[in-house]
Amino acid sequence: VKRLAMKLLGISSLQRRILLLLAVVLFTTLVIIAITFLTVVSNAERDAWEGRQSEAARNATSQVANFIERMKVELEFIGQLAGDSAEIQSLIDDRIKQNPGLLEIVVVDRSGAILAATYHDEPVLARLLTIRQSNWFQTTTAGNEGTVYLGEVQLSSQNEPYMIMAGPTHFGGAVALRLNLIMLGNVVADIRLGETGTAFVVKSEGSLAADSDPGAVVNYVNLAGRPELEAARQTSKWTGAYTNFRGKQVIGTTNTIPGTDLIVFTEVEESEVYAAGHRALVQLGIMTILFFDGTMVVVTVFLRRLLFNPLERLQSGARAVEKGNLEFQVDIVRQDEIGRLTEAFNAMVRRLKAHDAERDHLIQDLQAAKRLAEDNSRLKSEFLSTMSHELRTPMNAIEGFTGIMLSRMGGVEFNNKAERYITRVNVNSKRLLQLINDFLDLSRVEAGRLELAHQLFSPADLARRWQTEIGVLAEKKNLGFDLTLDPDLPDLIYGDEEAISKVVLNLLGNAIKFTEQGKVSLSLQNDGDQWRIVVSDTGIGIPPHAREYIFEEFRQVDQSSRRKYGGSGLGLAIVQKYARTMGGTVTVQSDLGQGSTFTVFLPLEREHELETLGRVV
Amino acid sequence: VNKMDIPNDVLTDWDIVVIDDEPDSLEIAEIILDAYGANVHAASNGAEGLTMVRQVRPKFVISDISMPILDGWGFIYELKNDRTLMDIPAIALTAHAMVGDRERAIAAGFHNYLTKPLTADTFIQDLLLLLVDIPVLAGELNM
Repeated sequence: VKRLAMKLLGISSLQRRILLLLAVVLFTTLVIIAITFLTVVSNAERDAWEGRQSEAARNATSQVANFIERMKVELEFIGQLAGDSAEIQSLIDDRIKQNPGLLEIVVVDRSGAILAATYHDEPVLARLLTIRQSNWFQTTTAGNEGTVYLGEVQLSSQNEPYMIMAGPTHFGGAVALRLNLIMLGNVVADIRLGETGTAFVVKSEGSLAADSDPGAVVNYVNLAGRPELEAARQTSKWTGAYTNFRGKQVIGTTNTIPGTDLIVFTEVEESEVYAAGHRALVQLGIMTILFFDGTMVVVTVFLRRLLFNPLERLQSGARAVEKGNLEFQVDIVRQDEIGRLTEAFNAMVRRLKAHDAERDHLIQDLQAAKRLAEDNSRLKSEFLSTMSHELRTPMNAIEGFTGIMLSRMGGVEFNNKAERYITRVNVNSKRLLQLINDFLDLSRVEAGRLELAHQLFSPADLARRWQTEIGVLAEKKNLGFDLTLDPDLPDLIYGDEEAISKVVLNLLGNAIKFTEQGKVSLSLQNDGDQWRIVVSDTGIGIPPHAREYIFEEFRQVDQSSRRKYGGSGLGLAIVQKYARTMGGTVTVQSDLGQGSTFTVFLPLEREHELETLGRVV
Repeated sequence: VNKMDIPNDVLTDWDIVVIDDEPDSLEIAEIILDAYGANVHAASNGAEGLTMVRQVRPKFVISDISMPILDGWGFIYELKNDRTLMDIPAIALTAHAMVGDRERAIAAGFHNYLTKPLTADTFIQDLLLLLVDIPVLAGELNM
């Protein structure tokens, strides 16, 4: 997951990493600043709203209180009137004309009989036959001095809301006023707070007494049981956020009108309170993003110019050099750290170029030396080839013609003495030819001109050919010849028959030469990843000191041996050099007077399995 | 095959072409083959040898490899590409056994090869060992 995220974000690129880090730091900083700023703004805004609302609430309360106070003043004024009913009647007729908040005025005596009554719309109080049973009469005449009765919110037959206010008269009767709640509604409707602010009046038991919307009052809206009313009833002044009876999320303030159970609510919708904060949030968000983007663009441009572009140029320079363009030099744009790095890089490339030139020079020298060496080697090889031809041709003629004479071919005649001499010439020519052949064989190995064949052959068949060739010689000296073949030896192996034969025939020739009686044995054995050719005889053996040098050229056991047995002294040197060229070794064991055993170890390369399968099929 | 067992008339009346640029070597071959009854026709290079072969249509040819004008390889190529001559067996004569010579000679079309020097001791034995391998000749040997 981490690797996938790194891949998607391009974390592997230094440029992306730096920009990502910068973006994270910048964005975090901007967000913190924006949140702090928003908090400050919205706190200030809320404080401002609180101030305005509390002012509006105070205003509303005082307006409502004024209305009630004016009514109380009317009540007290009428209550102190003395005189006859006609006088009171004319006075209250005057009051109802003067005060539009009054719908009806009724003055009763102690017994509840109407002394005077007047009304705007229709007689409600005066028509009551049961004034004595009414709440306002009973409460007012109960003798509770100084209290003013405020009744329920009720509706007239015209569906106009009213409320009864009553108080005592100085003669022991009572005055009842029917208050026009539409007037109170007009009072609260005039109170403005922002766009959505409203005020209304509620009786403490919950019924709506006045509202800018008269319909609400007419419909007997009751706030009983609502938490904001419960809270308002606990204290004379309360502020809180809640969902009001109209279903709006608001912040409301309540005030109780002193001396009454009327509570004035001033509410403003929360959305308006926080509107400025929200606008600020949106604006700040847009500004933050714009600022972030702008800063990132500027930072990216600067980073590219100062850091990444020079790095990319350096990188492409390194690539060019890697591909072998040593002429490449990266432009140095500024003398800053990258500029100095570029300078060092350029210097390094120049140095590399110098080294390269030096190396090319050396290679040319070496190639010239190699060509010279190859020429020398070729000349040597040509020399060997020419020499072998030029030396052999006359020797072949000498041996050929003396042989013909000794065989009496071509009709030649000569006496015994001549025959003896010609025999000497023939034998010596053979010796010299053998020496020349050995010498050329040895030279060829030492010049590295021995090319080995890599062909499948049957070791058993090869051994039988050797047996045929050597058996004749052994017979001439009356020696036995044993051939032992290891059944574990593969039928076919890889190698160079000619080279192996040269080694083995040399060893067998020596064995016969140095053995006067007994036998010569040849044995082929499997030895894991090698195979062994063992040649042993029952001859004179080799003294211990001589075993160290018998493989060297022109070395025989001693001078008397050379005279007695002849030979070039090159045979064992050829054996060892050929064996080594084939990747093998030669060892010798010998008991003086008992015989010698030469063992040739050669790498065993079997026929491949597929070839075997192919043949079986 | 032992030299002592070889009758002197083993090759009686056989026409044999021998090609070699070395006169000594050529003469030795002539003398030895003559001693066993053959009619030897000598040529000193491959071109002469071809002319000679066309003329006498020998039982077989012995040809040196390294020669001027037309060497042994060129000779065997011409011989084996001539429908009238391709059935005549040819034996290569090499100066000194070299690795791969035998394979190369057989691949070029020679029946087999013999190594110089040609000596009275061994030449006729080695030659007869090769001839008995050639069915058309083996039956005609006077043995």
